[in-house]
Amino acid sequence: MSALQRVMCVEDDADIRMVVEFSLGTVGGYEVRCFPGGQAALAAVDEFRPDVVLLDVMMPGLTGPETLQLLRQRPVMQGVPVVFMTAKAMPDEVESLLRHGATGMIVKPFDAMKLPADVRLFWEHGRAPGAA
Amino acid sequence: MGVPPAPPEQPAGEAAAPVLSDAARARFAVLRERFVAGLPARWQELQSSADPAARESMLHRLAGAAGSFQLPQLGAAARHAEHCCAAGGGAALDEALALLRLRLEEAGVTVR
Repeated sequence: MSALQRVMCVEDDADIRMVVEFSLGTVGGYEVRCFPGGQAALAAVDEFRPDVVLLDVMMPGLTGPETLQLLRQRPVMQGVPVVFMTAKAMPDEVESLLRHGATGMIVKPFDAMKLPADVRLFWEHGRAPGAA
Repeated sequence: MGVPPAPPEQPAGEAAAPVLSDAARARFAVLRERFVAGLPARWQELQSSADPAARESMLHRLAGAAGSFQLPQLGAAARHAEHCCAAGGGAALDEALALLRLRLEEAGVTVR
């Protein structure tokens, strides 16, 4: 079983990006790259080759679901779990977001100390069988 | 084609918080202080904005960030104000903003 190493985070809020970088980088020990929007993430995804992607839902420009749709067209993203981050977790919205092909959801605010373990669980659950 | 099993909405099980090094704790404290230092400006921006959508967005961001910086009461107050804003404002929003101001002061923020 390969190791979880690289986490991509797409989030327009600079404060949340800062917490995610601390949490997953300093606490979790992962290589983290945060991007302020979908276009920047799409420009970097082929080179970064994330093992898992955290994706904000409400962003200016490309929304989270739109970004996910475009990410899924990239060969490097085949079998890579994508987890939405949202403050609004009403059941119908959760169902709608999961239908877009996400592995799960992380509700904001999140616990910065526990986020690395949560991300690992999503990665273990969501990655494609036999993925490198 | 079979139906794949439903993914979890949240990870199964309660993840234990890791034991942090002193350096990591210090790093988080610095980030938190930086966030708190920016709160007076956020409050001013919130107070001066006449656009309900912009206010709602500001409150939404504040709610998400405050909670993640381990300021849950401030985050909850911001979330309540966000909901009041979305519901049309009025007296409920005024009350929610008064509570938010109180939570800011409790967090050590000087607001005018």
